[in-house]
Amino acid sequence: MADEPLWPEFAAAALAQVRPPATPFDPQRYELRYRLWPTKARNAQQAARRASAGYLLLRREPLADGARLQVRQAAVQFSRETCHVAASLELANDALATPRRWEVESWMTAADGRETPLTRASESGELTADAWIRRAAGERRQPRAAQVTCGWSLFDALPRLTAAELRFDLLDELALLKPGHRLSPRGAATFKLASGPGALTWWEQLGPGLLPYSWWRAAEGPVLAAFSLARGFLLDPRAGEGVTW
Amino acid sequence: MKRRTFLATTAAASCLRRSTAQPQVRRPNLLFIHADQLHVDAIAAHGDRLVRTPNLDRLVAAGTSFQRSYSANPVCCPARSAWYTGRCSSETGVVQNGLPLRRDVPDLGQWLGARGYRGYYAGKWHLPARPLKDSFTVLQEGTGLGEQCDPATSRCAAAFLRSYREPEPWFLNLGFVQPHDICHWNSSHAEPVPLPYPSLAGELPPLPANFEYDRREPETFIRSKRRRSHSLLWQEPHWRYYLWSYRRQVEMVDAELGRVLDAVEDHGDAANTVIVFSADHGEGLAHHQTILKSFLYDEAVRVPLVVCWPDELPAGVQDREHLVSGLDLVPTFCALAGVPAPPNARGRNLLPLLRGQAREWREFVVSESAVTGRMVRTPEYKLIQYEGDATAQLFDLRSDPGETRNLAAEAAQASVLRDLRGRLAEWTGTLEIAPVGERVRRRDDPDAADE
Repeated sequence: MADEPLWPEFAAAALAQVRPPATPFDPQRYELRYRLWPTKARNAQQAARRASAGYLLLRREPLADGARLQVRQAAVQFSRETCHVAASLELANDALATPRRWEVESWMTAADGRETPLTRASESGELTADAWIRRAAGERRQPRAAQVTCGWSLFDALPRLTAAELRFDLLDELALLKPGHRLSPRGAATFKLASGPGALTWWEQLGPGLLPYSWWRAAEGPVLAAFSLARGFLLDPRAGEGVTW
Repeated sequence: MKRRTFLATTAAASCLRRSTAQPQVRRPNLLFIHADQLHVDAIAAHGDRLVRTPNLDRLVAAGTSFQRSYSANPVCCPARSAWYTGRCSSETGVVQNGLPLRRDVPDLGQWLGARGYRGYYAGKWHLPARPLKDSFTVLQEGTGLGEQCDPATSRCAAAFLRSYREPEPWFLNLGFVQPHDICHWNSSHAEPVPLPYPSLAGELPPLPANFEYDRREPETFIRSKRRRSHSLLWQEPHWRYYLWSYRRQVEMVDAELGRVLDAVEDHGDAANTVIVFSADHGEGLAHHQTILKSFLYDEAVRVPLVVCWPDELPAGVQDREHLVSGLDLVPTFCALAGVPAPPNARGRNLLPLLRGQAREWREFVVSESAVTGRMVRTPEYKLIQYEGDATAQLFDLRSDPGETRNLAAEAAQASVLRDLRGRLAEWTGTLEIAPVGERVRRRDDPDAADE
């Protein structure tokens, strides 16, 4: 059987590890923790590393006219170095949780946890009515499409999505423009989760610069998992333990 | 900043530099960026209309893109051993993935590091028994999954370029993993399934013109690649889904490249920075019904090679004439740095070509594969042969650029065959071949130790 993110066997292996929150989910104010899950483990060593490949932490709080989303992300490399990203986004109250302005910082740490010199970088940016603006050492400005969002925003947007297809330009990590994405509902199914059977709805994301992603959402709940062929994010309250905001 | 602005800025910076009449020539910064498993034609600027590569296109537009550029050995470790030493893979000892690089052969990091450059590395290295930290200051070492590693590589590069403040010139190497993740895709699809995303049906690329091929192939190749291919059970829809998926992975590395190019423009010394972009090898991409690499058809062995140096070298050149090799990078980097190349470096300095000043150039290029395989390519012909194999392949690339008619057995081509074999023997006779153990020689698949 081929490994495809939408294939029941593939999805089942991922979702069986996921435990939905025991308390009602408040889409306005939450903290979600996801474990980074490299799906392609070809040997025992790689499989062992699955457990510590990194994390994505999201913390949302409402603002008067939108929301603030804080992000902590870590991607552990095979050499046990880690790429860290810390971001703060101001989101619009719209279907795509469009990022209006943001600050992003990244750095590497070595296997011993020490920061690697010359690897810390900061960027900020904003989406105005007609432009995408990025600021690092200089300022870059380019026209924006009508519908734009980023991957982190999709975690916020999915719990509110209805059954209509969305089309947008993806600002991957708020820096890499991948235009022409679409997010489409694929239906509902019941899977065995770590806490027992769960009814999930799923969505597929297709577009340039990405292998197809499938997004899995609990009824009235948050995104439980999102994955492509190679990598995914699984809801896991223990992910990123000890990370401070 | 748009490219036009970038060029204007760098031109102004260059004029300023010249007008101050510095007595000493400042050595350029060197940025070597490599992708892994990038088919030379899977780039929009090279004619592929089904892939979106604005940043590769940006590089191609800013420099010289060699269309007849060949990997020294189309598999990861051997190709990299040749890039970084200027020696053939049969000399470095890295004739297959996973084999150690000879200790007595210096690599570019060590060579330039001892001659005034500060060497830095981020990304995939993949030269066993040559610890990266022994050759470069390591910003990040990525290997394995491109989707996991490449964003870290580009972030490190951007941070480095925006924060480097030392007086010495730098030699920054970025080893992107993508689109190598297609290996994982292929191994996951050995058992074909219906197209999982019906909405893609209208977007799937067509099969290449040379999907059907001349079956008279060397048994060595058939044994090592054809009979083991993940694609054995594929039908046309599966091939086309594979072609679609590969292009998405090319777009991933293109996006990361964009982050780096933006940072190059930001770092204030763009006019004095040479960018060299290449790939260790290509990808089958359904040509001759192949996937992956480690064979000598053009889809695996021909690779992108782009060189950009604002103000100093012409922009927007697609060189379709000259035969160049991964072996040429060491002599070229050394010439750019103003230092001699290491002893016995086999390639040639590309600068005269890049400046349009080369009066003569090589008549043929050689690539190696799978311990016993070699290819000799002239402007007109290409010969592929494996030691001890009864079947050779000869293609007339003027009339058959897709390598679909094997002429090796035709009597009318006997003199061509003889001439090419003579050239190959002459070339091989100049090499200091490293001994290869019998166990390695017996191993069929040179790609077996990938990752």
